Amino acid sequence: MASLFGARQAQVRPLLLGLTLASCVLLGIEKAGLGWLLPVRSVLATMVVPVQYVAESPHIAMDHLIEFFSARSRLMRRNASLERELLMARSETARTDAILAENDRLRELFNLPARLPDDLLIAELIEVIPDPTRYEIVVDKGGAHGVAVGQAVIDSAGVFGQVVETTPLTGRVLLVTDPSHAIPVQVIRSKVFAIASGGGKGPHLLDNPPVTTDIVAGDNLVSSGLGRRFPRDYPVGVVTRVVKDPTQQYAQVVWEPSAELARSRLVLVVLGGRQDAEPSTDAVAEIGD
Amino acid sequence: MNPLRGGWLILLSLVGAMVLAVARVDAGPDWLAWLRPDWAIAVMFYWGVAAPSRVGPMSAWVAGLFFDVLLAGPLGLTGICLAFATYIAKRLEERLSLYTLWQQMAVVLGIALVIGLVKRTVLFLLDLEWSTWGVFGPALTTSLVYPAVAFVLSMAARRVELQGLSGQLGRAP
Repeated sequence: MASLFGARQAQVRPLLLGLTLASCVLLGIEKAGLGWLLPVRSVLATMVVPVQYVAESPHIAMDHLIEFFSARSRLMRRNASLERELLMARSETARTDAILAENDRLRELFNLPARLPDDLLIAELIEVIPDPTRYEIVVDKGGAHGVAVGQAVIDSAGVFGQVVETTPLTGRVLLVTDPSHAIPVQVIRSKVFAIASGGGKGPHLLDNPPVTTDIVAGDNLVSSGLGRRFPRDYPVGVVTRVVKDPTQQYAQVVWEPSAELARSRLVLVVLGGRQDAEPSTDAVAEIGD
Repeated sequence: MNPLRGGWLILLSLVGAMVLAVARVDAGPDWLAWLRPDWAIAVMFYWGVAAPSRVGPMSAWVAGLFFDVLLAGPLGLTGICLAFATYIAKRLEERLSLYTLWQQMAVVLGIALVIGLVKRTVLFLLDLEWSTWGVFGPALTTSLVYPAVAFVLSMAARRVELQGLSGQLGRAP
């Protein structure tokens, strides 16, 4: 038997050894986080875009089918309710515009730089990374559309995540619930700053808030803009449970993301961040008020 | 008439494996995600057994790169796993042809278990959460879907007259 395979093995073994070494080198580069492989990844990822579309096509087709076969009356009801929502949103926007203008004037009085409106880009989900320990999605907008690593991604309800990798045609988004994700937040009610970490499946926690922190269940969290990665004042989540044990140094604060992570197919990429020139002064000013 | 002497079927089957690897299942409980078969292993192992002259560790490794970007995993991980799967398939080719379906499934289970263990270990070393289910779930389902994969691919291979089919295993298992 050995002689039968002998010749073939002689060729295959060094090849296998070489491939193992090549893989180890690639994995080593990945672990070191050097980023040398990004151009390669980008080329390969562009080539698999059709596969992503094919895999997502049942869902896209399903959406169209549902639309196609919906009863006329249902569509009209939906249309009417959307129109009502649009009207409400418009009036809300008009009021917000006035407040923003007032805010800008006040900021001028304090010599703070004016805030620029955010540039938003609508993106559609084309893949959910299938590994259950990871909370990442791929959207259909990439470098060619102006998407870059570090940009925030939101949906209509709140912060969704951030772009961690782009190819010319697609962008990979890390969700706020991923265990490796954290976002600086502020409690609207008490203006306390904190960091909201993703907890994967389990509870999502704030990073070590002191036990004396003014946080109660039901508090709304918005992005604080500290760290200058996320734009300010987007809703991030709601505090659902607070456990304060006086013998402990830190409180246990559980929060739930407000973005519809499992349901939104359409998301918004915040292209130009609302970058404040002096975030530290800004923070001090807000703590002071 | 038959581009690449039927090799396009191998490419197509790999694309199919990629689509199945990322196809989204919305319904069902969360743990269902752990039962997603490792389609790449099933397909590459089958070609390693059925057409050993057409696939080898090198082509399997290159195919693995595409799976890695698709799954947003580290480059080179799926490649080396597939290369070993093909290598073992080629080595066992003649023996496997004598095996019953159950025995073949057991072999696939063994290979998928080892590969799953290697994969999860590497991912763990790259700072991902450890998951024992991630080792056993896919291995189990991979061996369960293997007969279906082998059946479909063997029918297709004979229909498109893929060159280089090994005699006995060109047949359905």
